[in-house]
Amino acid sequence: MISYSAWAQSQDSIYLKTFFKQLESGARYRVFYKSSWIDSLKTSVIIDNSAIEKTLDKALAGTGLQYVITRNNQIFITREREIQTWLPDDFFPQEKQNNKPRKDFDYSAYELHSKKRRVEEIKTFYIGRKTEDLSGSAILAGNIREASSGEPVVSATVYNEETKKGVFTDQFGYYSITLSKGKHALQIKSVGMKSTQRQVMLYEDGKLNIELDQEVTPLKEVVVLSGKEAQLTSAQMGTEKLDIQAMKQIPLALGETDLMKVVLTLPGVQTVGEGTVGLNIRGGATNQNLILLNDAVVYNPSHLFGFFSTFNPDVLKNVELYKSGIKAEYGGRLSSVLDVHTREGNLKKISGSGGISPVTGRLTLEGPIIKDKTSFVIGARSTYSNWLLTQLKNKNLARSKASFYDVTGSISHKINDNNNIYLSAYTSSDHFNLATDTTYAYSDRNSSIKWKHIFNNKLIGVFSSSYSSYKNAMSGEKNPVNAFKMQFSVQQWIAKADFNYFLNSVHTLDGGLSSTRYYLQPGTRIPLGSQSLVAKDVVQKENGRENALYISDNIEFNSQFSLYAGLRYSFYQYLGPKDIYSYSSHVPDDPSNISDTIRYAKGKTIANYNGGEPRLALRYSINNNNSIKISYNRLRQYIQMLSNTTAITPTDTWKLSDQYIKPQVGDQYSLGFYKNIHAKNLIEISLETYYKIIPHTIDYKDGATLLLNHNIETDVVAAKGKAYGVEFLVKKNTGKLNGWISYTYSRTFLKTTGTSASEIVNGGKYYPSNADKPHAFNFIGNYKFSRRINFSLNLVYSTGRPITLPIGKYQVEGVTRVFYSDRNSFRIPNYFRSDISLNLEGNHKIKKLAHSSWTLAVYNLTGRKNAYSVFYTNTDGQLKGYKLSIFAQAIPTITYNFRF
Amino acid sequence: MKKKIRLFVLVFLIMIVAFACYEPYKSSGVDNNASYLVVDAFVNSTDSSATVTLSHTVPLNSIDTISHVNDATVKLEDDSGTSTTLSFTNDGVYTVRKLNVQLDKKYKIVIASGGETYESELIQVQQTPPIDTVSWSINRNNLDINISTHDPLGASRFYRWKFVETWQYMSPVPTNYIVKNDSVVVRTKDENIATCWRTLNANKIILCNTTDLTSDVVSNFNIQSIPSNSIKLSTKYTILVKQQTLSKDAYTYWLNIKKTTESLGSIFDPLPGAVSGNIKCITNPDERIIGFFSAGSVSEKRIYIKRSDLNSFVNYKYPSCMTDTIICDTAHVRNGWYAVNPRIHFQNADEVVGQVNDKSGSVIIGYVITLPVCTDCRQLDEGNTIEPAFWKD
Repeated sequence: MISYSAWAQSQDSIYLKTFFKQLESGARYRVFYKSSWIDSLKTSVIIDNSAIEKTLDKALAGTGLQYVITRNNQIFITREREIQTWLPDDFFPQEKQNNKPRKDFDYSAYELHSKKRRVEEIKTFYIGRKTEDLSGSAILAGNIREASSGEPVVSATVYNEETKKGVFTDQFGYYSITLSKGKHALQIKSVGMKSTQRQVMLYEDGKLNIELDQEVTPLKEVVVLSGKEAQLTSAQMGTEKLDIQAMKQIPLALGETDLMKVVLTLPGVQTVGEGTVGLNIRGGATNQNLILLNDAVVYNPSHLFGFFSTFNPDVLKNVELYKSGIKAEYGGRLSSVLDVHTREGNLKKISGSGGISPVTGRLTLEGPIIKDKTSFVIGARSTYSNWLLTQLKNKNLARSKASFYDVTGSISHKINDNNNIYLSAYTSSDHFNLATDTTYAYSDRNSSIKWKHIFNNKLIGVFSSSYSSYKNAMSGEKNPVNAFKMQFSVQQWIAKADFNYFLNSVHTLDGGLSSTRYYLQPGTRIPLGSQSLVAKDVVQKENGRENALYISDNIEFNSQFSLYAGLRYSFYQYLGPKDIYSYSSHVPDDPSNISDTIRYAKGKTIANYNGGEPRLALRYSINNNNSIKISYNRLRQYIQMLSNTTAITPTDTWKLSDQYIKPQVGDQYSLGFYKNIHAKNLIEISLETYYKIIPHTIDYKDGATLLLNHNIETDVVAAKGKAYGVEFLVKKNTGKLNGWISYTYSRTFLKTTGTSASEIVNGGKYYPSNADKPHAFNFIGNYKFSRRINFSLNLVYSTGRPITLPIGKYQVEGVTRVFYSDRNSFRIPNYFRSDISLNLEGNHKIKKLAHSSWTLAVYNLTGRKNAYSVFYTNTDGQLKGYKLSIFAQAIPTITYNFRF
Repeated sequence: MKKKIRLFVLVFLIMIVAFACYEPYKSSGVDNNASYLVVDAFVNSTDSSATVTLSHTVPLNSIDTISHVNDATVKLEDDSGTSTTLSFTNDGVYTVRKLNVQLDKKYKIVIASGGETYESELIQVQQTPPIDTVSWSINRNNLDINISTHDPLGASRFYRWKFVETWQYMSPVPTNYIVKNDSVVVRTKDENIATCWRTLNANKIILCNTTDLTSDVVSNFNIQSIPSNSIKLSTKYTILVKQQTLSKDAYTYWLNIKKTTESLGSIFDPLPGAVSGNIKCITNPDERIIGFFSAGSVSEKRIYIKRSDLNSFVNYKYPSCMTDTIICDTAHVRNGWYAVNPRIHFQNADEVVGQVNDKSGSVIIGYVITLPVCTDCRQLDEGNTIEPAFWKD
């Protein structure tokens, strides 16, 4: 680790090499050493009759070399640390397993294991070279892994009680903590893991790897959030970390753990309706969320009109949602970051898991490729709905088609202690035709490669590259004259380097740079078949480049104050080749006003924008149990979704910022209070408030055409937005009864900033945006009846979303029609839903062929008919109001899950 | 295995179909006193007329469906300043005939109503190509009426159609008899109640554009679908289709009206919006108005479809009608029956549909009777017995 410069001894000394030869010449000892260590070292010590230890102590004093003498009179010379002549406790783990045949109740193995763990907890680990000087501080770092699978444990806490200092492991299970030199006790905790502790004697910077055991209960979904210290000691706020065990307890429709639906139970997260996947976070639009899967961007995280999300629960490791206090390393979207990671796979043995529900089936396999070095995990999921549909008697429904699949896989390889490589790939595909003429299809694909290099205890670098592609298509073939196919695609390449530098106990620096290339095909339409008269129409391709630099410093002034200060600076270029239209009216109001066309060559910059994105977060701990945090962040977004519906749909396209459509910019200020109450079990309380200003965003003109529009700038109106809210959360993570209650009050508004009549919505005044749902209440509760039976209850309430309602009626063409109010001036009825689920585990034997469980769940227990939308339609010439409910009754599901 | 399949199908069906549901909905909190001007204005260059229909919106919960504006002043102006006043005819309709519509001129309408002045934009007169064919085809259980047209100049691109359907239909039990003064006599043609005709205007906005095509061709575009069990097809059916070329703005306006009032609320539907046309209130720019003014020629085509053209496709079921046979008071004479009193058995509502003769075939000894709903076609559908002037047998 740390190299020492050699220095020469006094004149009459001899080279150490010679000294060792003299020792050996006595034939009593044999000395082992590396000659490069001692080449230039000299000693004046003379071999006499004094004890060999004394002689060696003198000879090696100040050289940084250590020695050890075995019973066979072998002398081993080492640098920095001495060789321990006893074996570490886990030196022969495989042999233990191999020697003993597997039995269901192998107490001896169990006892051995627990003894080993006890020894590890009591024993003092000496870190670094022994010195007397214990002034200053040193950095302890290492990996925390799950003992049985070897997988890294993410977001585990390493906490030192006396100094109230704690750190989290990163997504690779790596931690780095700065402590004063000397003796310390460290507590290590993580969700679903047995807590453990280590006694360390810290002399110098050094490494300590820690293995954690799984909580040996089949009901491992007991939520132990990574220590009570998490909320109070981190400067970050508005952040939610969830891991798959916690997600698995929440009862859900259609019998599958669904990441997106779990996220929806958190305060500040809304959706426009059931059966849609788009998230509205703190009043933001659905396209303002950066969804990352292993660092690659996901554009459409939904299957089958949003009934499922595309993340296979069996391969997921954890998810982090940033609503505010977004770190400088993230950028590109305005509202939030949803950072999803998949597991790395079992390093010790092949295992698998899966589940069967009424609509889908899934299977995941994982295991080592090279034991303890390389592992893989691959999960696939599909639906059998197509086959089911063909079984139907109703001809119309039988002609419908709906299918999807997704495959997620990753490979992790440990080159050595300091180098790891991670490969990940994901593909999801959807295809459906609802007994109509038009077939919709979309697919999301991405892959990433990541190399993590530990330069030293202080500096870690992660170099990664990712590729994302999202495509959708629509085709109609019924009438040969009009047969067509329409396609859209967006591709994104990202290369980045991130560095993490643990400067000292006060400063932790992060920095990095990234470059993103966007390639968009905004729309093509081609005729299908020889009879088709459909004209080929290709909207010009779009190219863009976004480069960003960032640096941040996490400053722990003392145990009370900490500050996170970061700055991201992004540069965006809208690139040729493209023909750009100019408008005679100076504003892009109508294609008929095009006055000129300017052709830009390939790679030429058409428009460029750049700007700083400061990120600040400050924490003040009032005492052990109370803290206050404030944060500010600014984000910029250079790509937007074009959609005139409120949800993410298969026909949505994306658009890069150009010379007319300016990048979206958003500022958020937030303030939070956090309190821990130590009763029998810890209760966490938090209150966060935020105020958001979006100086520039977009909305659409009424009747805007978004598909195949060569002059999209003429249908978009500039708008600005604001949002504010208060989020209140009470969380109990442990005990027989655990869960959380949240209440959110939030508002969000938009205001058009255009000047011409067609660019003004609601007279240019602020109007509620689609995601404006002032009151939201969530309750998630789990009750553990026994180790095998777990019951969960989920209650959701929110104000209905805003809607444009008819305010009058009139007749045209002899038919009564409705006259609509100003945009979003009414609301659909309030939303309420309750779900329950019961989880039954198989027996408790730890070692058996396969573990299985049954989940019985009822979604929308009360069968309340929650409105998805309200609309008026003309039935037989009469105007009737209707409300559409998606899940209008209780939906029971049963799912069989297994793992082996 | 079969049973298992059925179970899965059931589960899936429940999910897709039963869990989604539509329910009647009543909105609350809507200001019911607001009222807005609604304008539908058209200059028809084919018959040289202009028609402007004015109304006010009415509250959703109102029993009235329309509130006509009958006290407005409506003028048609061209870009050279010539102004023609339209005269009020009835129910909010203002018309003028024998106009000299010139294709090279632009027109606008000016409305004065309720102390405010409204004005449309200046618009051009659109030329409409002739309809090539109006055809029909059978599409599962529906008879589709399709239209084809083309514009060799490629100038039309945006089309709108209106249609008027007329169908002839019979009563379930047609009769040639009528009871007059308690005696049964043969009906005259004027007394016909067995054959009816009903005429209905289209109650939808039909639009199509060819901007996506290399040539300005509309091929077999479906404008109407009639279920095989409809009374429309029971005897003979005709449809008169009127075609009109629209400007792009007019097309967008009608499409918006159609989108926001004919179907909304499904998962992928766009949000409804305020539809604004090409008419503005110039005295109060904040006032919202619904309305559009267009001008152009209209081409028409009519087709007839007989039941016999459709073979066994027509599946119309007449309501079941019971008939009863009553025998007059009779006396048995040697060679047969002899009617004594043919009168007294008819109730007021009875309709005679046939006679019962004796063996010889020359003596009426009784009548077949049924209910009026079975003989009077006016009671079966809302038609009448007057043959339309255009009707061809």
